[in-house]
Amino acid sequence: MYLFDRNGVCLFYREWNRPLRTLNPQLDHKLMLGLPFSLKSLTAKMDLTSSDKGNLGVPRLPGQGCSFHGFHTNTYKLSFMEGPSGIKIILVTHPWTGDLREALKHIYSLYVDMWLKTLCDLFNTILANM
Amino acid sequence: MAAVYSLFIINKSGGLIFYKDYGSSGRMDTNDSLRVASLWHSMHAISQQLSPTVGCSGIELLEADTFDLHCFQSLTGTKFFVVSEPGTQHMEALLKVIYELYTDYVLKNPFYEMEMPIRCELFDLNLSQAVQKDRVALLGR
Repeated sequence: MYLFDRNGVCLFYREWNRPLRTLNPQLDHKLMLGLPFSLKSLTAKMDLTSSDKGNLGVPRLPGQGCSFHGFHTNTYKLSFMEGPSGIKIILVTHPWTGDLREALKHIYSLYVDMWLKTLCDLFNTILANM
Repeated sequence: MAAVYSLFIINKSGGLIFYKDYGSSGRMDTNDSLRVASLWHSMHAISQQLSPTVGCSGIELLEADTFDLHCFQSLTGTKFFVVSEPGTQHMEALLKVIYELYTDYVLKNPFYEMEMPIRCELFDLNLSQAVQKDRVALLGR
């Protein structure tokens, strides 16, 4: 599982069972970030319901255009979710896992809780020290 | 209600050799379809690199909000992919049928050069019939 913020910095990486590692970690993170990014711009371009998007370049805004939520190959399944702040959650699982959108939403809510909590603690300690 | 929106066939090197649109909207012009095909070819290759286990053969199904994309890669590296409505069943079977039609009408055509754009009437004809049959079967259910 990977978690990236809107600037592409990998905030969190956790693995449970990964038999094969073809690339070094930096390259792995870069590819893992780049692949959903390009797939998103591809789906935005191929989207059939909306009017023509301009280019295959950068529909950056998280809500804009059609986005993909997952793909699967014969060996793994990748689920993707982008939050409104640009944060991206990517989950790599066994191909027979069902639709993981609810799980991703849950992870996002956990992330928001934890993050807000830490920020509030920090805020409180700063206030207390003033 | 079209279940299959479009079909792309790309050769070993990622160039688009066939593109057919069955849906009403979302028609792409030639340049865009070429770009989309090359992008897909690269994505397919990258996804193989990222596999956590051995023996990955690339993306088979991409699920987006408004469409699904099913891909079939033959042993020679030619990729067939269809863009369809979300949740359409039996697209893999359709892709296999299209692959058979490809081998029958395109590869056995003595005037067809490998890796070149497909311009075979019989292939187009039989392809439309196969897609129509599929559409009728889906609507009849």
